[in-house]
Amino acid sequence: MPARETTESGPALPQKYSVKQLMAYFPHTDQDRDDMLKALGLESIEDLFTCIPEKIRLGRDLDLPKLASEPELIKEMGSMADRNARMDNRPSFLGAGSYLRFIPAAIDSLSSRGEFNTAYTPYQAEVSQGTLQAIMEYQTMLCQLTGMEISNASMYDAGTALAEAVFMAYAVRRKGNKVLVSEAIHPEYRRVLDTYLADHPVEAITIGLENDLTALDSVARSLEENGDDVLAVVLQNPNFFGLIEPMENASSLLGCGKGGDDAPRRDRPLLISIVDPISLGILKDPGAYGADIAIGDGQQLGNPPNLGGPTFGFFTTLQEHVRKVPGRIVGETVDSDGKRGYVLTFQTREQHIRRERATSNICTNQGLCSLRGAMYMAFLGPEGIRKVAEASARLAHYAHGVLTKIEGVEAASTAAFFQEFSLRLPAGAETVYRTLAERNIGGGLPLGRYFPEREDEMLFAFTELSTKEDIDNLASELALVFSKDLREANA
Amino acid sequence: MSEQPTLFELSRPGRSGTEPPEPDASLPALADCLAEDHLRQEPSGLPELAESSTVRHYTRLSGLNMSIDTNFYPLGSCTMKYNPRINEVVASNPGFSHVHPLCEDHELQGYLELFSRLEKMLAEISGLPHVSLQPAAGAHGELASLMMIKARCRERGELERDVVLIPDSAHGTNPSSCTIAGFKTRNINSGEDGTIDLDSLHEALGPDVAAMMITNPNTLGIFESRIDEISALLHEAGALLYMDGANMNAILGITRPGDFGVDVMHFNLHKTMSTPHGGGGPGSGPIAVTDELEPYLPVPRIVRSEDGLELCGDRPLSIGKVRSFFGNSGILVRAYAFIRAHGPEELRGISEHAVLNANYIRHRLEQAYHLPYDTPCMHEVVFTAKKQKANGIRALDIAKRLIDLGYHPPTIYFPLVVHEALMIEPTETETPETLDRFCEAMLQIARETEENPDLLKAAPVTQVVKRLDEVNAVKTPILTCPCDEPPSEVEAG
Repeated sequence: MPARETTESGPALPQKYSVKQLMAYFPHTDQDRDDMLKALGLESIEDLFTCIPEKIRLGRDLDLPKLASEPELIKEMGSMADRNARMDNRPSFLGAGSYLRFIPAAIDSLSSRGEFNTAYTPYQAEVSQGTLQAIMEYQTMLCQLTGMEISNASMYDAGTALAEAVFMAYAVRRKGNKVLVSEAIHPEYRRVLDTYLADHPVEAITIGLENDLTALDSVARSLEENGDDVLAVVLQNPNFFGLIEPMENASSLLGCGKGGDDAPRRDRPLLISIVDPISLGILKDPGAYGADIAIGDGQQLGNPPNLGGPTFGFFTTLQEHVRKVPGRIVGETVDSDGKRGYVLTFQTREQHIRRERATSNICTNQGLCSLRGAMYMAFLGPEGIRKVAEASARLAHYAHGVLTKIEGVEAASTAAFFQEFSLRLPAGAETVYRTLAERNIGGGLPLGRYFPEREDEMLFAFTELSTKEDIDNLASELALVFSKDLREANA
Repeated sequence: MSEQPTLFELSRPGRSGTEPPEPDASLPALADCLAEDHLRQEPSGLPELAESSTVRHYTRLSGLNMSIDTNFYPLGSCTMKYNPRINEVVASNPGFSHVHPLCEDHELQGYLELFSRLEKMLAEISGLPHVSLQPAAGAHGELASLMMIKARCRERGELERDVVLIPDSAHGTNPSSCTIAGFKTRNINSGEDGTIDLDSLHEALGPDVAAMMITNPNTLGIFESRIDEISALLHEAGALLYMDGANMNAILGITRPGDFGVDVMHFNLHKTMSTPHGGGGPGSGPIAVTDELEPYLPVPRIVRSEDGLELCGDRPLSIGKVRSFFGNSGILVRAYAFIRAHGPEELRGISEHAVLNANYIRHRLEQAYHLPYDTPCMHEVVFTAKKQKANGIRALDIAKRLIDLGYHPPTIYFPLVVHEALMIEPTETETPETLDRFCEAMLQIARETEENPDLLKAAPVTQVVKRLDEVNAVKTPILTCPCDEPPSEVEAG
C-alpha cells in the first residue's frame, strides 16, 4: 500500500483533482486520471458531475475529521473498545438471549476467508457454489437440530424472525387476525413484533403466566373465546425466564403434531415455537412436539455476543409452507451435464421478483453469521452440542443449589429450567448488579428493566464457559452483600 | 475445480469434532437436573466429522466462490469495492465483539461514543440532522422509514394518505417494504432520458399520497437532475420524499440528499462504507431524517446526559424497536473505521473515482453494446444486449461467458425497465488496468456473438458446475441434503 501523508505535509499538487495525495483504497495515480479523462475527452473530474445542478452541490468539504492511518485507527478505536465491559475477562452471568460460549478457533479463520466474506449474495450460482452448498448444509443441519422439514438461509435476528413467522402464519391460514403471545417470550422479540404489527391487520394478545410458565388454561380460554380468529400461538422454550414450557400440552391443545392429519393445518392455529438452538442438544425438539414454525436466534452457534448483533435469526417450518416462507432458500438441482449443483430457489416468493406481493421485503440477510452457525454445528457435531447443552444445564443446576441457600434469596419459580433461572433477591437487583460490578463480576439481568414489578429479581445465565469456582465466588459475594444489608436493616 | 461432497456424505458415525470444555465431574448429573420427558429421545442428526476434515471442507468450498478478494466483481447496484482488512481487525477487538447487549449504559461508553460519532458523520454526509443506526440492512431501513411515515400520517390524522409512489426503475425491496408498512404503491414511469417523468408524477400525485421513494442516482446510474422540482412538488402536496441510499457511492461529499429535499433515507453501509457483504450479509441500513421526523425514529436513541451517553427508550412517538438489542453493531464498527480512514477530501474522492471508472467503461464499450439512455452515467452504467440479440445471444449468455474469462458478471435483467439489461458498477477501488482487461473481455464477447455464439450459450465451462437448471429446482424441490444414505463412494480427501 502506498504511504499515506497528511494534507499538511503532502506535496502540493495541481488543483485539478480534489484528492491531493495517493489513497490506499483507490489506486489511481495522476497519470491514470490524466489518461482516463483524456480518453473521455474531459478536462477535469468536475466535468463528470455536470448532471448535478450547481444549486444543490455541496460546494465545500464535508465537516468530518481528517483521515486516520491504520495505527491511528487501532489506537483510537482500541481506546473506545477499552471503555466497554467485556464478558471474557471477568466472570459474567448475563444471558437473556445473548450468551458467551466457546467458539472453535477454526471458525474465525475459515469465516474470515475473503472467498466467503467478500462475496455477494449468491445470485450467480455457477460462481457461488461454495456459499450455496454451505447454505444448503446449514439448512439441513438446522432441520436436524430442530426436527423441522425446511429452513431458509437466515433472518436478521430472532425478533424479526418472529414478526415474519406471524406474517407467514397469516398467509397460511388466510383467516383470523389474532395471535396469542406468551408473556414469557423475550421482551425484545415482543417489542419488535409489536412494531411490525402496528400497520398490519393482525393483533397480538398476551397470555399471562403461572409460576412463570405460560398459563395454558388461558390459552384454552382464549381459543374458545376467539375461535377461528386465532391464527397462531407463540411460545418460547426455554422461555425468557429459563423455564421449560409444556410444549407438548400446548401442541395437543392446538391439535398439532403427528397424527393430526385429520385436522388440516389451515383449519387450526399454528404453533410458533421460539427455541434456543443449544438447548436442542438435550431438550425435545420442536419437530417432536409438532410445531408448525420454529425460529430463534443463532448467536450461540459460533458467534460472539457483538452487543446483540450481528447474529442471525433462523427460520424453520414444514415443507408444505415453502411458498410462504420469507427470505432466501437454497435448493439442489443439476447442471446442463446432469451434475449436482445448488441454486437460490422459489425466488418468485421474493421481493426482487414479486415486489409488492413478496412474502417478505428481506434481501441482505445475515449470511456470514449463519455460515459461522453452520461451521459451529459441523465442528461440534451431535455429541459436541449435546455436551455443551449438558454442561450448561449441570452448571446452572449446581448454581441454583448454591445460590438459593443464601439467606433471603429464593427461586422465582419452581418449574424446571435449562441453563437460566430467576432469583428473588433481598435487595433491588439493579443495586446488586452494581455491587457485583465493583467486585469485577458481571451480574445477572435485573428483571425490573423489562418487568417493573420484578425489580427484586435477577436472571442468571450459565454456559459451558461458567466454572464451579466462579459460581462459588458469586455465591459468597452475594452472601456477603446480603448479610451486610440485613445487618444494616436490623441496626 | 472438483465437486465437494456434502458434510453428510463426509460424516462417519462415532467420529468426533472439536471438543467443548469438559464440565467438573462433581456437578449434579443431568438425570438429577431434568426429567426424562423434557429430553430428546435420540441425538440430533448432525454430521460427525474430525476437525481437520471440516477445515478442509470449508476451505475447498470457499474455492468454489468468486469474491472481491479473488476477482473483479462489477455487480451493478451492489457496490462491490475492496473491503479493507483494518475493518475486520478493529471489529474483532474483544472490547467490541465480547460485549453483552444488556450491560448498563455506563459499561458501554466506548460503543456509545462510537455510535454517537458515526451518527454525526452520517448526518453530515446525508445533510439530514438525525440518524438511527438500528436497521440491520437496506430493506430493513426502508421498512423502518416507511413505518415512520405511516406513524406521522397517523399522528397528523392523515391515514387517508395510504399510497407511496415508486418509479418503475426501483429496487424490488421498495414496493415490498411498502406493503409491510401498510401502504399501497403507485408506479411512476421513467422518461426518455431515464429520469423520473414529471408528467407521470403530476398525474399520480394526489391527496392520498404519503410519500415517494426515489433512488438517486437511480438504478440506471443516472442522476435525477430535476430532483429539486420533484421534492418541491411532493412537499407542496403534503407528501414526503424518501431516498434509497443504495447508490450513495456516486455522491459522497458532492451533493447531499438533505440538500435536495429528501426527508428520510437509508444508507447501505455494507455497500458504500465497505463493510463486507459476507456472501449475503450481515449488512447495516442506518436511516437519516429531518427534524420533523426525528420523534418517530426507532428506539433506543442515544442521548447525552451529565453522566455520559445513554440509551433512551422513552420516546412516545417512536415506531418502537425494529430489531432486538442494538443494530448490527459489529458492522457499525467497520463502517466507522472506513469513514475514519478517509478525510473529507478522500471521501469525495471515492465518488469521483467511482464515477470516473464507470464512465471509462461506458466510453470503452459504447460502440459494441447498446446504451438505452444517452444521459451521462454516474457510478454505474447500464448497457443492453440488444445488438447481440440479433444473433440469439441474451444478457444471460454474456454474463455466463464473462465467468469463463475470469470476471464476476454484472447485474442482469435489472432494472426491469430495460430489456436485457447489463448493469456494470466498477467502484473506485479498481485500477485502470483491470478496467481495460474487463473491457477487452466484453469486446471479445461482442465479437464471439458474431463468430461463435455457441461458445456463449455453452458458458460457463470453467467452474465446478455448468449452467444450473433453476426450473428443475422448483419442480422437484430438494431443500436439504440427503442425510440417511449409506456413506457415499466419494473420496473424502
